[in-house]
Amino acid sequence: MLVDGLRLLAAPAREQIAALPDYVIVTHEVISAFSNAYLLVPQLQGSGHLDAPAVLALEKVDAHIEAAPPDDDLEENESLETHPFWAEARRLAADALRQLGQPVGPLELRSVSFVKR
Amino acid sequence: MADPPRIQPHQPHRYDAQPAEVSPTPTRGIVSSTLRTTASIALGMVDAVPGMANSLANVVTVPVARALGSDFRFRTENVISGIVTSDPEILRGARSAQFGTELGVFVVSLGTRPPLGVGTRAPPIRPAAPAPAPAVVPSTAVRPVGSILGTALDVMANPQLLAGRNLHEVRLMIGRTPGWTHGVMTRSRFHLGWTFRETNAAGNLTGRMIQYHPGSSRHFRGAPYWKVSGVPDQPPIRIPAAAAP
Repeated sequence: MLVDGLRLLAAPAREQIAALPDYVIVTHEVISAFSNAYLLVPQLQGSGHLDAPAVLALEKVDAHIEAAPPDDDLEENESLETHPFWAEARRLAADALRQLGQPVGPLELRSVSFVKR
Repeated sequence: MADPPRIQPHQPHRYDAQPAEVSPTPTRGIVSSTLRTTASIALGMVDAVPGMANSLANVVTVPVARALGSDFRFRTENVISGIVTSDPEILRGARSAQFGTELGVFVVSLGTRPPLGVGTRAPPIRPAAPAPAPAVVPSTAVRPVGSILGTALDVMANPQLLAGRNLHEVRLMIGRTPGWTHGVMTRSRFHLGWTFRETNAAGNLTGRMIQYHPGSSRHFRGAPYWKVSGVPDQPPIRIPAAAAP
């Protein structure tokens, strides 16, 4: 779940968009996939599944998301290509994957189902 | 972006004041009602929610599928007073939902005391000596997890159960699942909606969760959607939406 979330965050814009159903808000789901998994970090660290460098890298990703600028365009798909926020998020996510010893791809959401209301 | 929908408190309704015609020997497991000014008449079988203690209320959805005779009535106060629950949200939601036009949502007790005010095809109330209370026997109904929407476990087994359902309905139906907790997720400027997360006996998150995104006016005219995480090896699925209530 954590690796999947990081890979979605680290992926190029077109892959992020292609990985998700066309009725969801892609930018929100990119954030959500990581953020939901990040909630598990304390217990993963406590159980020895994450070492300190990996946790630090994950904290940087989280801090970057939390400090997102108040820019409405940030929620649009187009911003995934153009906004510096997303470029930095990709860089940090890729670094976290390296710390976890995981490749950046393949991009899969193996345990997520979306259902249109 | 709009805030997630909230359960509205019950507003006084003129049907609340109507005299009751309640069977003196309520039939366990059957809930019915008549809203006489509309065609919204509901009848359904109560299905006990596995894993819930007898002292908890069970939430039941009843598709409006069958028209009943005009002598088929119950008084809302009786149903509400029969609930064995202290959750005010459940109570408010149950009361307000009874006047829905597409789906009736009822809360009845299936626990250690008989359900009060559960209507059946009702003869007039007789002032005779009260009949002995029916024996309370826990439901022995067995159903596969995921066959109907009763708990969060059903959603995990079959996310398609959420298709066409709004947040209000789902919270009423699965919101008391033991071991699952409500929340609202917001990250910086990203409002990610209502969440329902599972924790294990040690209090740790399991990673399984149900999320409702209310949509955004900037995207798809605010169409909401559900996300279910922790479904093993299941690719994203797309399901056409039912008409919005």
